[in-house]
Amino acid sequence: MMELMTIGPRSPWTIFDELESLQADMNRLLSTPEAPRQTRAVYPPLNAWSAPDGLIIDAELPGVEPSDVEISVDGDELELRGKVTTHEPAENEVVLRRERPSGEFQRTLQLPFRANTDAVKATFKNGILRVAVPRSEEEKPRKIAIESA
Amino acid sequence: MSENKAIQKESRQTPEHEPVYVPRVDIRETPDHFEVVVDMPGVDEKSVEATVHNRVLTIEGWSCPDRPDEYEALGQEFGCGRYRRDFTLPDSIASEHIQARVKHGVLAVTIPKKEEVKARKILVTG
Repeated sequence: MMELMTIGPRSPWTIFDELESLQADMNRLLSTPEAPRQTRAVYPPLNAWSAPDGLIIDAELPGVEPSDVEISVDGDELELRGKVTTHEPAENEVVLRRERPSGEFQRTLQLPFRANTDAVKATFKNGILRVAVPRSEEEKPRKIAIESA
Repeated sequence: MSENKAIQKESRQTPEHEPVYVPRVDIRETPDHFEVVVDMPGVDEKSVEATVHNRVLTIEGWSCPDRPDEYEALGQEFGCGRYRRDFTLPDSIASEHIQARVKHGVLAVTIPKKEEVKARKILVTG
């Protein structure tokens, strides 16, 4: 008898800790004109998109120079690292308000698959970083035909 | 892209369902101008507006993450929405010379002071 077996994407999985995500949503919802949205515990905020071939990760990084961001993928771990540089006040300047974050950031994501590290691509547009992480060839879903004896 | 535009248009018509974010801001003052710097990730020159009316500077922008074709949302920490924040300006500014530019999702507004209030160095002669 012929049978088809699928070695496919693993079970559904959550990329972010749900509590962190909820906290971020709450901060946004609760922000009012009097109280600017609070500094979130996690930086940068991310969106993740999934397809059989891989993932796309978007990160909000306003004002960050593309050259100040480092993306590394090791097996099934993706790391974003970089720095947010804000204007250093000159001698004749007075800082009236400073809410924008500055400094170094680092965030690591556990991927649901081993990535094809050579094919990871990143683009930067209007302060949003987009990283496309393809699944490694060996882990792509494939159908295996079982021959009859 | 066209789908995205359709979403934007629809959302703009129903502002009551649209989240409004208060963007983070830095403000600096120099002897001859104020500089207002606003984090608005996702906006470009077409989706951001700065207006001055009765000495109130209003900054507004719109951003919606571009969903890649044939991908499903897996986790979302930021979404579609409108940025808005108002600033009351002092009397001493020259509102007709305000300049704004946007780069990497950050809006920078330069608000010059009126000539007569700019600090001047006075040459002292002997």
